[in-house]
Amino acid sequence: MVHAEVVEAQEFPHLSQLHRVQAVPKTIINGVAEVLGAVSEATLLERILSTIGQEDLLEGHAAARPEEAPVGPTSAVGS
Amino acid sequence: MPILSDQDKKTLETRFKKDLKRDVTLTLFTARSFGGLILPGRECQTCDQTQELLTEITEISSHINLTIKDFYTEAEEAQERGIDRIPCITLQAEGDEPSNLLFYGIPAGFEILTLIEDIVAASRGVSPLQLTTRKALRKLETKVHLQVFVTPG
Repeated sequence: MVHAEVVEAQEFPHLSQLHRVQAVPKTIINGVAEVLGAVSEATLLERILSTIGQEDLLEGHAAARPEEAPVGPTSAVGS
Repeated sequence: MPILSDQDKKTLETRFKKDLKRDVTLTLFTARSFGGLILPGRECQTCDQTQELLTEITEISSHINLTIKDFYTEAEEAQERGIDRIPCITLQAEGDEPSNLLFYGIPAGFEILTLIEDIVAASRGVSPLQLTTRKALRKLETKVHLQVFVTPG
């Protein structure tokens, strides 16, 4: 059910512009939601599930492991 | 001029010897040149370098194979797999379905580590994700498409 792409932002400028990529890493979920920076696995899972409306799958997940502080974008594109 | 240094190759050789279990085939969708000529509209900035890099990686371990596909003349397979840009790298471990992961662009700089980790994970057939994450993902009812934008770093 999960397909993933790693996209080299500078090689595909049209795609980067389409998703307003100004810093990396940036993750786009189903073309609509965006996650900036290298976030924890738990945070990314939460964002995926909230994007598709299946937050119910999170029960017991977030509570079991407190969310780590998100890490912001680490480098600018095209600088 | 090789892309990987001798030190890189030694490090990878050690890693591959230790961690690779099953064979992994890397497939590169690229634009083949015709006697050095590139057809207009089919220019690909990093295709040759990507092929060189993958060739160097496959030379390090007999567990890693490389298949080259031409994006234009073998377009049907690319279409079936939803590949719409090149260079594009996919991987498949022996006995598994092709991975749902695509690499667009050259995995240069630190990005090569991502590819190496994915080769190892595919070869071992073990997900690096935490159990709770895997449990949640197994119950997904909707398709999820992730695009992670990166730069070589």
